[in-house]
Amino acid sequence: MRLRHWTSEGALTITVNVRYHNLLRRAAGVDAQRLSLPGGSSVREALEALAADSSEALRSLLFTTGGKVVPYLVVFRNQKLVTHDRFGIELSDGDELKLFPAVSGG
Amino acid sequence: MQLRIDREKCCGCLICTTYCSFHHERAIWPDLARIRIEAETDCGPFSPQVCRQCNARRASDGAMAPCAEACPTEAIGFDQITEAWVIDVELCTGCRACEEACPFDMIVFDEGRGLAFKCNLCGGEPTCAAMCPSGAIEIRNR
Amino acid sequence: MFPYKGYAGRWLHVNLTTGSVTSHPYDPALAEGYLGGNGFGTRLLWDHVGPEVAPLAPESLLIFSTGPLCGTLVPNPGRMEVIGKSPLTGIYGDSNAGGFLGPELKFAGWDAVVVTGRSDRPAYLAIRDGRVEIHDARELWGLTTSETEKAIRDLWDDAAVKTAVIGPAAENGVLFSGIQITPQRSAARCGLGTVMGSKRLKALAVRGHGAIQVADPDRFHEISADFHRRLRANPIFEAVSAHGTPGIVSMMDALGRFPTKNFQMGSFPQVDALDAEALEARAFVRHLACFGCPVACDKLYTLADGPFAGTSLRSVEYETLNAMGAAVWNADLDTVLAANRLCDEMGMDTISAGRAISFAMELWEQEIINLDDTGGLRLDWGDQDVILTLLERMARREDDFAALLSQGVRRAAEAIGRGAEAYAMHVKGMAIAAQDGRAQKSMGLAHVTSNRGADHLKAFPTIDETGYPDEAHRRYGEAYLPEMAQPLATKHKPFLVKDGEDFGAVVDSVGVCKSGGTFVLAEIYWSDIAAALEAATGIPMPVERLKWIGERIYNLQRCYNALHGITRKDDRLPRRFREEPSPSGNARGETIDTEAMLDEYYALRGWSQETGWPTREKLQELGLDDAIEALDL
Repeated sequence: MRLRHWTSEGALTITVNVRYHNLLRRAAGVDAQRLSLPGGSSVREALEALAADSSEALRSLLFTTGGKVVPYLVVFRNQKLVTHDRFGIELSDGDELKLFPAVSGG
Repeated sequence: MQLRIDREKCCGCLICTTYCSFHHERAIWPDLARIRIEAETDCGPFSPQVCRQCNARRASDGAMAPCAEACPTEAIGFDQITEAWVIDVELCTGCRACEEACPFDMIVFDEGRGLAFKCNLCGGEPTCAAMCPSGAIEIRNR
Repeated sequence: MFPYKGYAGRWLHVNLTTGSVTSHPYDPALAEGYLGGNGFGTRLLWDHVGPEVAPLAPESLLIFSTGPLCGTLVPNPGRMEVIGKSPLTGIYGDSNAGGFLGPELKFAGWDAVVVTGRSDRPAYLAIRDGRVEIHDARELWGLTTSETEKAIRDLWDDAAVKTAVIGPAAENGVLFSGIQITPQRSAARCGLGTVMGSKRLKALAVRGHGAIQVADPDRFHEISADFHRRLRANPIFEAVSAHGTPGIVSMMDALGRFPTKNFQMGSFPQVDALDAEALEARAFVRHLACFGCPVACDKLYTLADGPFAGTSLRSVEYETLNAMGAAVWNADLDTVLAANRLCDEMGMDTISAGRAISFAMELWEQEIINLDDTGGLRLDWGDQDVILTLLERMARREDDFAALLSQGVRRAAEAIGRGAEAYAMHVKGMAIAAQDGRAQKSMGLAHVTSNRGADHLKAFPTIDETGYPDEAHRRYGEAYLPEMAQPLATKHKPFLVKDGEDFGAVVDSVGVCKSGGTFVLAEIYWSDIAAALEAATGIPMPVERLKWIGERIYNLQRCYNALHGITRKDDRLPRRFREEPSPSGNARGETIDTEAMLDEYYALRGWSQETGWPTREKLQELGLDDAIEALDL
């Protein structure tokens, strides 16, 4: 049974696990962190929550100074690639987000 | 000014060498670069070797670099602005006395033209420092 | 006098049968029309190594070729090509490596070294600027690649000599042997090391003291310095530089594009044990660069303890972390490094060698082979001892089973029969590397259309690995979005692949690196290379002309393959990709059928839908009239 956490206002809170890779991991200083978000939060809102609570180094890898998500940030939600045009999708409790800089190669 | 080397940062790319040679010779010619990278192995550790501009700090008191001292035609003079010892190519006779005198093996001799060359800090904007991608070569004021 | 700068203007022709060594000022039209690198190699193979010449015959050519930008001021100018008819595939073969040998050849005054014949005893080629000699190499034969390098440096009393060497694998006839290029970079694919071994050529050793001139020094310097600025300011420069190709392991795994258990899956449950962070923590010593490269994606790794304590090597690439890791179900990083080192020393392609093992392990799992077949080896998935034992045995070809595997998965499957073909993951005889067409549709197409057999580097579609919408927009424009940047979309991918192949043919002809600004950082493109070429060489190079040359080189390679019997039917992926939905990551549920994309690709290329051959009209357009005749079109 999944525990649901209720705030004093009665809104649902969800917990999302975020894993960092490559330069994001260096900037974050940790491999992963758990994020508590209001129910109904989107991918973008999750990124904003991360940025709000992080170092300048990590913030600059997530958002441009203009407030847009950096174009080369790659996000997976539960092993599915989420393209930037779909950052409005709603997250569920227990979701795993993986964040990478868009490095290609072979 | 002087060049400050941080050996730990050198990864052996040789960009300093190619750009140095190009700046002076208008060709890519590592053998004529005024900087060289020494390596213990192919995989480092690497050690950029640059002219130390010997005795630059005391040049105003009449101190001379060994190369300048050795030169029989006084072809090597001190540039007050860049604080570099500079070979005047017009006065160089190719005798190689400077090469012999240099304790750090930083004189480059071109047998083709019979002339000696050395680092002159590119007249004030050292190309090697400008192009080094890793920060292994930086400029510092004395 | 060769009329163009940037080039040395001479080829070195070596005949190992007669012992003759000649300096050959080649026709400048070849520079104008084929640029260098794989352009030169393709033309030479077309002219001199027809279908009647077996890959390992004395008459077969082995070509080492640099390009006009190799050794110059543009970023990542250290690449060189080795070209020959592949003994692994029987068709066009080429292999590319970085390091320092290409530039050294240019400083020595040579654009290419063309080797023919066969020495009656082991030999090595000594090139000291313009002085070239064939030396006895009997004392070197049998040595590992690093032992050979050291021996030559001791012989020359010069630590700065650059070499191309083969190891015991090539000497023993392993069909996927490679050539190690100073400093332990690998020209690994297509078995060109085997060609070198068949000529009894143990090594090239080069020392060059000359200069590379350029046509317009001011303009060339301006362009080159600007490339450097742009590259270093690229938003993912730091990410690539930090880890090199291992930096993509975890992301490829999330994409379902990290082949696991011989492509049964696209993700490895223990990928965290093999990723960039694990590698860095375990063994990182320092960053290393190839000639002239600001990215410095290479690293030195050393194992300080454990069963392989003291193992020290560079160039541990994404491919090897896959081939010796996930593909064989091995999560032990130390074993991967030991396997990598073994392949380097024996002189074997880690990709093809690893794929031979994963193929064999799946046959074992399927009970198609048993202990009698394997000579007593239990090929259990992930068995680290088996992995290393098989590698050693393949290199030495000591027992029948290992000797068979050393001929590549296609031949091994044919010999074994009993349904083994279903598990041989290759196209045209070349093993598929660490990509999965189900996870990235463009790559599936790239694998079937690559001129050297399954290969990601010919087309190298990077724009849609995870999506570079900005770069897709910049290179292709709004009309191609959003699909151009989507890995699972097939729309527009034929164009992406064709454009990549043509641009890649140019990049491999001029001597710059695909892991640098042209493909991985996707910063330098057609007009940039055209401008750099013109400033370096003095050859007028409008962008349309450069595109024509790229297309021309690619078409001539295709014609060469056509002459050797390749048709549309060979442009196919193994059944697994078409029929087994990937269970992994972003690719979950996906299969790939390349036929529809191939139709569009052929149409874009101006090739016959039926045969997959270039049409008469296309060849006329590309000035390849002799190919029209040879193919009877």
